[in-house]
Amino acid sequence: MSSNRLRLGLGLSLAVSIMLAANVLADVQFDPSGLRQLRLTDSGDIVAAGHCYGGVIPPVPPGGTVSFFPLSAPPGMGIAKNGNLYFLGEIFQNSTTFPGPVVMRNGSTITASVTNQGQLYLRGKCRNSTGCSNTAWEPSVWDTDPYIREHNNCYNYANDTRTDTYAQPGTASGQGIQQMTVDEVRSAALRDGLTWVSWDFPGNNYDCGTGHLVYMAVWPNTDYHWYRLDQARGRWSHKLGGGTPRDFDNSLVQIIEPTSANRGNYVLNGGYYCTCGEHASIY
Amino acid sequence: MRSLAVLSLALLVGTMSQTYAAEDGDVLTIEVDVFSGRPNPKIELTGDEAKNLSKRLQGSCLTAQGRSDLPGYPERLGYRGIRIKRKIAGKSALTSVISSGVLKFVKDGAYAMCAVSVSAGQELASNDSNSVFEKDLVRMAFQKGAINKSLHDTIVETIDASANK
Repeated sequence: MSSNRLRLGLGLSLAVSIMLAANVLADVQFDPSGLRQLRLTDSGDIVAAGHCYGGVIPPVPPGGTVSFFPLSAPPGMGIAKNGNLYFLGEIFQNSTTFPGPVVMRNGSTITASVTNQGQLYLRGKCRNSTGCSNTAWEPSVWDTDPYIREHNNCYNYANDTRTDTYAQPGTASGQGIQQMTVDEVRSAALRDGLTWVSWDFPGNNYDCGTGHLVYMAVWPNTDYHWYRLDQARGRWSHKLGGGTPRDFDNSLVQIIEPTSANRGNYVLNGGYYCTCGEHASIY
Repeated sequence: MRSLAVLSLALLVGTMSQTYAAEDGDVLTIEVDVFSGRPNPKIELTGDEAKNLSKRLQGSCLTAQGRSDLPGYPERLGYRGIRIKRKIAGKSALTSVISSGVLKFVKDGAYAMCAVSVSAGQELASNDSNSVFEKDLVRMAFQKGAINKSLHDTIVETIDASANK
Protein backbone atom coordinates (compact mmCIF):
# COMPACT_ATOMS: atom_id res chain seq x y z
CA MET A 1 0.00 0.00 0.00
CA SER A 2 1.35 3.41 -0.92
CA SER A 3 2.22 5.56 2.05
CA ASN A 4 0.04 8.37 0.83
CA ARG A 5 -3.08 6.28 0.39
CA LEU A 6 -5.66 6.12 3.13
CA ARG A 7 -7.76 3.00 2.89
CA LEU A 8 -10.99 3.10 4.78
CA GLY A 9 -11.60 -0.28 6.22
CA LEU A 10 -8.00 -1.34 6.34
CA GLY A 11 -8.41 -3.33 9.43
CA LEU A 12 -11.26 -2.74 11.79
CA SER A 13 -9.15 -0.45 13.96
CA LEU A 14 -8.63 2.06 11.15
CA ALA A 15 -12.28 2.03 10.17
CA VAL A 16 -13.21 2.55 13.78
CA SER A 17 -10.66 5.34 13.95
CA ILE A 18 -12.29 7.08 11.02
CA MET A 19 -15.67 6.91 12.67
CA LEU A 20 -14.20 8.03 15.97
CA ALA A 21 -12.30 10.80 14.22
CA ALA A 22 -15.48 11.98 12.60
CA ASN A 23 -16.98 12.28 16.04
CA VAL A 24 -14.16 14.55 17.12
CA LEU A 25 -13.09 16.45 14.03
CA ALA A 26 -15.18 19.06 12.29
CA ASP A 27 -14.25 17.61 8.90
CA VAL A 28 -13.17 14.24 7.64
CA GLN A 29 -10.09 14.83 5.61
CA PHE A 30 -10.30 12.87 2.41
CA ASP A 31 -7.06 14.39 1.26
CA PRO A 32 -4.18 13.58 3.58
CA SER A 33 -1.95 15.85 1.50
CA GLY A 34 -3.58 18.75 3.28
CA LEU A 35 -4.56 20.48 0.07
CA ARG A 36 -8.20 20.29 1.15
CA GLN A 37 -9.27 19.58 -2.39
CA LEU A 38 -12.00 17.33 -1.15
CA ARG A 39 -13.70 17.15 2.21
CA LEU A 40 -16.81 16.00 4.02
CA THR A 41 -18.41 18.69 6.14
CA ASP A 42 -20.38 18.47 9.39
CA SER A 43 -23.64 18.64 7.49
CA GLY A 44 -22.72 15.85 5.09
CA ASP A 45 -21.70 17.87 2.06
CA ILE A 46 -18.80 16.88 -0.12
CA VAL A 47 -17.00 20.07 -1.00
CA ALA A 48 -14.78 19.40 -3.96
CA ALA A 49 -12.34 21.43 -5.95
CA GLY A 50 -13.64 19.34 -8.85
CA HIS A 51 -16.80 17.29 -9.13
CA CYS A 52 -18.47 14.15 -7.84
CA TYR A 53 -18.94 11.33 -10.33
CA GLY A 54 -21.18 8.37 -9.53
CA GLY A 55 -21.88 5.28 -11.58
CA VAL A 56 -18.35 5.32 -12.95
CA ILE A 57 -17.58 2.64 -15.51
CA PRO A 58 -14.91 0.55 -13.85
CA PRO A 59 -12.17 0.84 -13.08
CA VAL A 60 -12.19 4.07 -11.18
CA PRO A 61 -9.25 6.30 -12.11
CA PRO A 62 -6.10 4.92 -10.59
CA GLY A 63 -3.62 6.78 -8.52
CA GLY A 64 -5.94 8.72 -6.27
CA THR A 65 -4.98 10.01 -2.88
CA VAL A 66 -7.85 8.31 -1.07
CA SER A 67 -9.77 5.17 -1.78
CA PHE A 68 -12.97 4.00 -0.19
CA PHE A 69 -14.37 0.55 0.20
CA PRO A 70 -16.55 -1.27 2.67
CA LEU A 71 -14.91 -3.74 4.95
CA SER A 72 -16.07 -6.72 2.94
CA ALA A 73 -15.62 -5.36 -0.57
CA PRO A 74 -12.56 -5.26 -2.81
CA PRO A 75 -10.72 -1.99 -3.31
CA GLY A 76 -11.41 0.38 -6.17
CA MET A 77 -15.04 1.08 -5.34
CA GLY A 78 -14.44 4.77 -4.90
CA ILE A 79 -11.59 7.16 -5.08
CA ALA A 80 -10.65 10.78 -4.67
CA LYS A 81 -8.24 12.18 -7.19
CA ASN A 82 -7.26 15.74 -8.11
CA GLY A 83 -10.20 17.16 -6.23
CA ASN A 84 -12.69 14.88 -7.94
CA LEU A 85 -14.62 12.04 -6.33
CA TYR A 86 -15.33 8.89 -8.30
CA PHE A 87 -17.64 6.11 -7.14
CA LEU A 88 -18.57 2.90 -8.91
CA GLY A 89 -22.08 3.15 -7.57
CA GLU A 90 -24.50 6.05 -7.63
CA ILE A 91 -23.93 9.02 -5.33
CA PHE A 92 -27.14 9.79 -3.46
CA GLN A 93 -27.44 13.36 -2.23
CA ASN A 94 -29.74 14.81 0.42
CA SER A 95 -30.25 11.27 1.63
CA THR A 96 -32.12 10.37 4.80
CA THR A 97 -31.03 6.75 4.75
CA PHE A 98 -27.47 5.57 5.13
CA PRO A 99 -26.99 1.91 4.32
CA GLY A 100 -23.57 0.71 5.33
CA PRO A 101 -21.45 -1.03 6.18
CA VAL A 102 -19.16 2.02 6.33
CA VAL A 103 -20.64 5.10 7.95
CA MET A 104 -19.24 8.50 8.78
CA ARG A 105 -20.65 10.47 11.67
CA ASN A 106 -20.56 13.91 13.15
CA GLY A 107 -21.39 13.24 16.76
CA SER A 108 -24.41 10.97 16.72
CA THR A 109 -25.53 12.10 13.27
CA ILE A 110 -24.55 10.01 10.27
CA THR A 111 -23.33 12.29 7.51
CA ALA A 112 -22.38 9.73 4.87
CA SER A 113 -22.12 6.03 4.21
CA VAL A 114 -20.67 3.62 1.67
CA THR A 115 -22.22 0.34 0.57
CA ASN A 116 -20.77 -2.92 -0.64
CA GLN A 117 -21.82 -1.93 -4.15
CA GLY A 118 -19.71 1.21 -4.08
CA GLN A 119 -22.60 3.59 -3.56
CA LEU A 120 -22.13 6.78 -1.58
CA TYR A 121 -24.99 8.22 0.47
CA LEU A 122 -24.63 11.85 1.53
CA ARG A 123 -26.76 13.76 3.97
CA GLY A 124 -25.83 16.88 2.01
CA LYS A 125 -24.68 17.45 -1.54
CA CYS A 126 -21.62 17.48 -3.68
CA ARG A 127 -20.58 21.07 -4.12
CA ASN A 128 -17.85 22.60 -6.17
CA SER A 129 -15.87 24.95 -3.97
CA THR A 130 -14.27 26.74 -6.90
CA GLY A 131 -17.71 27.49 -8.35
CA CYS A 132 -18.26 29.83 -5.50
CA SER A 133 -17.29 33.05 -7.22
CA ASN A 134 -18.92 36.42 -7.13
CA THR A 135 -22.38 36.28 -8.67
CA ALA A 136 -23.28 37.63 -12.08
CA TRP A 137 -26.52 39.26 -13.21
CA GLU A 138 -28.02 36.37 -15.17
CA PRO A 139 -31.78 36.37 -14.60
CA SER A 140 -32.38 33.91 -17.42
CA VAL A 141 -30.67 31.20 -15.36
CA TRP A 142 -33.53 31.42 -12.88
CA ASP A 143 -36.36 32.48 -15.16
CA THR A 144 -36.30 30.54 -18.40
CA ASP A 145 -37.48 27.26 -16.90
CA PRO A 146 -40.77 27.77 -15.04
CA TYR A 147 -39.99 24.84 -12.75
CA ILE A 148 -36.73 26.45 -11.60
CA ARG A 149 -38.39 29.83 -11.26
CA GLU A 150 -41.28 28.55 -9.18
CA HIS A 151 -39.29 26.19 -6.93
CA ASN A 152 -36.51 28.54 -5.89
CA ASN A 153 -37.06 31.61 -3.74
CA CYS A 154 -35.18 34.72 -2.60
CA TYR A 155 -32.95 32.68 -0.28
CA ASN A 156 -31.97 30.34 -3.12
CA TYR A 157 -31.24 33.27 -5.37
CA ALA A 158 -29.27 35.26 -2.80
CA ASN A 159 -27.10 32.25 -2.11
CA ASP A 160 -26.89 31.54 -5.85
CA THR A 161 -27.84 27.97 -5.06
CA ARG A 162 -30.63 26.12 -6.77
CA THR A 163 -32.23 23.45 -4.60
CA ASP A 164 -35.75 23.28 -6.07
CA THR A 165 -37.00 23.14 -2.49
CA TYR A 166 -37.92 26.78 -1.97
CA ALA A 167 -35.08 26.83 0.55
CA GLN A 168 -35.75 28.04 4.07
CA PRO A 169 -33.06 29.37 6.43
CA GLY A 170 -32.06 26.75 8.95
CA THR A 171 -33.51 23.73 7.14
CA ALA A 172 -30.15 22.45 5.93
CA SER A 173 -28.69 22.83 9.40
CA GLY A 174 -31.58 21.07 11.10
CA GLN A 175 -33.46 23.93 12.79
CA GLY A 176 -35.77 26.20 10.88
CA ILE A 177 -37.24 29.56 11.73
CA GLN A 178 -39.60 29.48 14.70
CA GLN A 179 -40.76 33.09 14.59
CA MET A 180 -40.49 35.66 11.85
CA THR A 181 -38.04 38.00 13.53
CA VAL A 182 -34.66 39.34 12.49
CA ASP A 183 -32.98 37.39 15.26
CA GLU A 184 -34.58 34.10 14.21
CA VAL A 185 -33.84 34.48 10.51
CA ARG A 186 -30.32 35.68 11.23
CA SER A 187 -29.60 32.79 13.57
CA ALA A 188 -30.96 30.30 11.05
CA ALA A 189 -28.84 31.72 8.26
CA LEU A 190 -25.73 31.62 10.42
CA ARG A 191 -26.49 27.97 11.20
CA ASP A 192 -26.63 27.35 7.45
CA GLY A 193 -23.11 28.68 7.25
CA LEU A 194 -23.55 32.27 6.12
CA THR A 195 -21.06 34.50 7.88
CA TRP A 196 -21.91 37.77 9.56
CA VAL A 197 -20.58 41.07 8.19
CA SER A 198 -22.42 44.01 9.73
CA TRP A 199 -25.74 45.77 10.34
CA ASP A 200 -24.55 48.71 8.30
CA PHE A 201 -23.81 48.78 4.59
CA PRO A 202 -20.14 47.72 4.20
CA GLY A 203 -19.77 49.01 0.66
CA ASN A 204 -20.15 47.23 -2.66
CA ASN A 205 -16.43 46.51 -2.79
CA TYR A 206 -16.55 44.46 0.41
CA ASP A 207 -14.38 41.38 0.01
CA CYS A 208 -16.14 38.12 0.87
CA GLY A 209 -13.23 36.05 -0.35
CA THR A 210 -14.56 33.28 -2.55
CA GLY A 211 -18.16 34.17 -1.69
CA HIS A 212 -20.40 37.16 -2.19
CA LEU A 213 -22.28 39.70 -0.13
CA VAL A 214 -25.99 39.29 0.69
CA TYR A 215 -28.51 41.31 2.67
CA MET A 216 -31.57 40.27 4.67
CA ALA A 217 -34.72 42.14 5.65
CA VAL A 218 -37.84 41.11 7.55
CA TRP A 219 -41.55 41.91 7.21
CA PRO A 220 -42.39 41.82 10.94
CA ASN A 221 -44.06 38.59 12.01
CA THR A 222 -44.74 37.73 8.38
CA ASP A 223 -41.86 36.99 6.02
CA TYR A 224 -38.20 37.54 5.20
CA HIS A 225 -36.36 38.59 2.04
CA TRP A 226 -32.81 38.34 0.76
CA TYR A 227 -30.79 40.32 -1.76
CA ARG A 228 -27.41 39.63 -3.29
CA LEU A 229 -24.63 41.83 -4.63
CA ASP A 230 -23.62 41.22 -8.25
CA GLN A 231 -20.19 42.72 -7.73
CA ALA A 232 -19.17 43.17 -11.36
CA ARG A 233 -22.11 45.53 -11.79
CA GLY A 234 -21.86 47.07 -8.33
CA ARG A 235 -25.61 46.59 -7.98
CA TRP A 236 -27.89 44.37 -6.01
CA SER A 237 -30.51 41.98 -7.30
CA HIS A 238 -33.22 39.83 -5.79
CA LYS A 239 -35.90 37.30 -6.60
CA LEU A 240 -39.42 37.81 -5.32
CA GLY A 241 -40.38 34.35 -4.17
CA GLY A 242 -41.16 32.20 -7.19
CA GLY A 243 -40.94 35.16 -9.53
CA THR A 244 -38.37 36.61 -11.89
CA PRO A 245 -35.09 38.09 -10.62
CA ARG A 246 -35.10 41.86 -10.49
CA ASP A 247 -32.46 44.49 -9.91
CA PHE A 248 -34.80 47.28 -8.85
CA ASP A 249 -36.78 48.02 -5.71
CA ASN A 250 -40.45 48.76 -5.03
CA SER A 251 -39.94 52.26 -6.37
CA LEU A 252 -38.53 50.78 -9.59
CA VAL A 253 -35.14 52.23 -8.69
CA GLN A 254 -32.02 50.16 -9.23
CA ILE A 255 -30.57 48.97 -5.95
CA ILE A 256 -27.19 50.32 -5.03
CA GLU A 257 -27.62 49.89 -1.28
CA PRO A 258 -30.38 47.60 0.10
CA THR A 259 -30.67 49.36 3.46
CA SER A 260 -31.85 52.48 1.68
CA ALA A 261 -33.95 50.74 -0.99
CA ASN A 262 -37.75 50.69 -0.96
CA ARG A 263 -38.44 47.26 0.52
CA GLY A 264 -42.19 47.60 0.99
CA ASN A 265 -43.32 45.84 4.14
CA TYR A 266 -39.86 44.35 4.75
CA VAL A 267 -38.89 47.24 6.96
CA LEU A 268 -36.64 45.54 9.49
CA ASN A 269 -32.91 45.58 8.77
CA GLY A 270 -31.53 42.04 8.98
CA GLY A 271 -27.95 42.89 8.17
CA TYR A 272 -25.25 41.88 5.72
CA TYR A 273 -23.60 38.48 5.35
CA CYS A 274 -21.14 36.61 3.19
CA THR A 275 -22.22 33.35 1.65
CA CYS A 276 -21.09 30.57 -0.60
CA GLY A 277 -19.60 27.20 -1.22
CA GLU A 278 -17.71 25.61 1.56
CA HIS A 279 -19.09 28.03 4.11
CA ALA A 280 -22.82 27.64 3.51
CA SER A 281 -25.35 24.98 2.72
CA ILE A 282 -29.03 25.65 2.18
CA TYR A 283 -32.03 23.43 1.53
CA MET B 1 -77.98 35.79 -42.35
CA ARG B 2 -79.86 35.86 -39.05
CA SER B 3 -80.08 32.07 -38.99
CA LEU B 4 -76.33 31.93 -39.68
CA ALA B 5 -75.66 34.24 -36.73
CA VAL B 6 -77.89 32.12 -34.52
CA LEU B 7 -76.14 29.00 -35.69
CA SER B 8 -72.73 30.57 -35.01
CA LEU B 9 -73.78 31.57 -31.50
CA ALA B 10 -75.16 28.10 -30.85
CA LEU B 11 -71.94 26.54 -32.02
CA LEU B 12 -69.92 28.93 -29.84
CA VAL B 13 -72.02 28.20 -26.77
CA GLY B 14 -71.93 24.52 -27.56
CA THR B 15 -68.18 24.66 -27.95
CA MET B 16 -67.79 26.48 -24.68
CA SER B 17 -69.95 23.94 -22.90
CA GLN B 18 -68.07 21.06 -24.43
CA THR B 19 -64.62 22.46 -23.70
CA TYR B 20 -64.83 23.90 -20.25
CA ALA B 21 -68.10 23.49 -18.46
CA ALA B 22 -67.57 23.17 -14.73
CA GLU B 23 -67.35 19.51 -13.91
CA ASP B 24 -67.43 17.21 -10.98
CA GLY B 25 -63.84 16.58 -10.03
CA ASP B 26 -62.75 20.17 -10.68
CA VAL B 27 -59.91 21.14 -8.40
CA LEU B 28 -58.91 24.78 -8.12
CA THR B 29 -55.79 25.97 -6.38
CA ILE B 30 -55.79 29.61 -5.36
CA GLU B 31 -52.37 31.05 -4.54
CA VAL B 32 -51.99 34.42 -2.84
CA ASP B 33 -48.77 35.72 -4.37
CA VAL B 34 -47.47 37.80 -1.49
CA PHE B 35 -44.34 36.34 0.08
CA SER B 36 -40.73 36.18 -1.00
CA GLY B 37 -39.07 33.79 1.45
CA ARG B 38 -41.91 31.70 2.78
CA PRO B 39 -44.09 29.70 0.40
CA ASN B 40 -47.17 31.63 -0.68
CA PRO B 41 -50.47 30.86 1.04
CA LYS B 42 -52.60 28.48 -1.00
CA ILE B 43 -56.06 27.03 -0.74
CA GLU B 44 -57.54 24.17 -2.70
CA LEU B 45 -61.16 24.08 -3.69
CA THR B 46 -63.03 20.91 -4.58
CA GLY B 47 -66.63 19.88 -4.98
CA ASP B 48 -69.26 22.59 -5.18
CA GLU B 49 -66.82 25.34 -4.20
CA ALA B 50 -64.60 24.45 -7.13
CA LYS B 51 -67.50 24.21 -9.55
CA ASN B 52 -68.85 27.57 -8.44
CA LEU B 53 -65.52 29.27 -8.92
CA SER B 54 -65.02 27.54 -12.27
CA LYS B 55 -68.37 28.88 -13.39
CA ARG B 56 -67.38 32.33 -12.27
CA LEU B 57 -64.16 32.11 -14.29
CA GLN B 58 -66.13 30.90 -17.30
CA GLY B 59 -68.44 33.84 -16.81
CA SER B 60 -65.44 36.13 -17.18
CA CYS B 61 -64.77 34.51 -20.53
CA LEU B 62 -67.89 36.21 -21.90
CA THR B 63 -66.23 39.61 -21.51
CA ALA B 64 -62.68 38.47 -22.26
CA GLN B 65 -60.88 39.86 -25.26
CA GLY B 66 -57.39 40.10 -26.61
CA ARG B 67 -55.60 43.14 -25.21
CA SER B 68 -52.20 44.67 -25.75
CA ASP B 69 -52.50 47.35 -23.08
CA LEU B 70 -52.53 45.22 -19.96
CA PRO B 71 -50.70 46.57 -16.92
CA GLY B 72 -47.61 44.56 -16.12
CA TYR B 73 -47.65 42.13 -13.24
CA PRO B 74 -46.52 44.10 -10.19
CA GLU B 75 -42.97 42.97 -9.57
CA ARG B 76 -42.70 44.21 -6.01
CA LEU B 77 -42.13 43.01 -2.50
CA GLY B 78 -45.46 42.37 -0.82
CA TYR B 79 -48.78 41.49 -2.37
CA ARG B 80 -48.68 40.98 -6.15
CA GLY B 81 -51.85 39.13 -7.16
CA ILE B 82 -53.87 35.93 -7.15
CA ARG B 83 -52.83 32.93 -9.22
CA ILE B 84 -55.49 30.36 -10.06
CA LYS B 85 -54.84 26.86 -11.33
CA ARG B 86 -57.75 24.77 -12.48
CA LYS B 87 -57.26 21.05 -12.85
CA ILE B 88 -59.79 18.57 -14.12
CA ALA B 89 -59.04 14.94 -13.50
CA GLY B 90 -56.92 13.63 -16.32
CA LYS B 91 -56.42 17.04 -17.93
CA SER B 92 -53.67 19.58 -17.60
CA ALA B 93 -54.03 22.53 -15.26
CA LEU B 94 -55.27 25.83 -16.58
CA THR B 95 -53.94 29.05 -15.16
CA SER B 96 -55.25 32.57 -14.75
CA VAL B 97 -53.98 35.56 -12.81
CA ILE B 98 -55.90 38.37 -11.18
CA SER B 99 -54.08 41.58 -10.38
CA SER B 100 -54.46 45.33 -10.80
CA GLY B 101 -58.13 45.09 -11.73
CA VAL B 102 -57.59 42.59 -14.51
CA LEU B 103 -58.28 38.87 -14.82
CA LYS B 104 -55.76 37.50 -17.27
CA PHE B 105 -56.05 34.07 -18.80
CA VAL B 106 -52.55 32.72 -19.23
CA LYS B 107 -51.56 31.68 -22.71
CA ASP B 108 -51.28 27.94 -23.29
CA GLY B 109 -52.93 27.51 -19.94
CA ALA B 110 -56.41 28.88 -20.13
CA TYR B 111 -57.08 30.24 -23.60
CA ALA B 112 -59.06 27.12 -24.47
CA MET B 113 -61.38 27.99 -21.61
CA CYS B 114 -62.70 30.99 -23.42
CA ALA B 115 -62.51 30.04 -27.08
CA VAL B 116 -61.61 33.61 -27.95
CA SER B 117 -59.03 34.18 -30.60
CA VAL B 118 -56.09 36.30 -29.59
CA SER B 119 -53.77 38.04 -32.00
CA ALA B 120 -50.03 37.91 -31.71
CA GLY B 121 -48.79 40.35 -29.10
CA GLN B 122 -52.10 40.31 -27.26
CA GLU B 123 -53.15 38.67 -24.03
CA LEU B 124 -56.59 37.40 -23.19
CA ALA B 125 -58.13 39.27 -20.28
CA SER B 126 -61.31 40.66 -18.80
CA ASN B 127 -61.80 43.54 -16.40
CA ASP B 128 -62.20 42.90 -12.70
CA SER B 129 -64.08 46.09 -11.90
CA ASN B 130 -63.30 47.47 -8.46
CA SER B 131 -61.17 44.34 -7.94
CA VAL B 132 -64.27 42.57 -6.67
CA PHE B 133 -63.19 39.13 -7.88
CA GLU B 134 -59.69 39.60 -6.50
CA LYS B 135 -60.89 40.72 -3.08
CA ASP B 136 -63.38 37.86 -2.93
CA LEU B 137 -60.54 35.40 -3.35
CA VAL B 138 -58.42 37.13 -0.74
CA ARG B 139 -61.37 36.97 1.64
CA MET B 140 -61.78 33.30 0.84
CA ALA B 141 -58.12 32.71 1.71
CA PHE B 142 -58.70 34.42 5.06
CA GLN B 143 -61.91 32.51 5.77
CA LYS B 144 -60.13 29.24 5.09
CA GLY B 145 -57.25 30.13 7.38
CA ALA B 146 -54.55 30.49 4.75
CA ILE B 147 -53.89 34.09 5.80
CA ASN B 148 -54.60 35.92 9.03
CA LYS B 149 -56.71 39.05 9.47
CA SER B 150 -53.73 41.38 9.54
CA LEU B 151 -52.36 40.05 6.27
CA HIS B 152 -55.83 40.08 4.72
CA ASP B 153 -56.26 43.75 5.62
CA THR B 154 -52.79 44.63 4.35
CA ILE B 155 -53.50 42.92 1.04
CA VAL B 156 -56.84 44.69 0.61
CA GLU B 157 -55.14 48.01 1.30
CA THR B 158 -52.59 47.20 -1.36
CA ILE B 159 -55.30 46.30 -3.86
CA ASP B 160 -57.16 49.52 -3.16
CA ALA B 161 -53.98 51.59 -3.37
CA SER B 162 -53.16 50.06 -6.75
CA ALA B 163 -56.67 50.72 -8.01
CA ASN B 164 -56.43 54.38 -7.04
CA LYS B 165 -53.25 55.01 -9.00
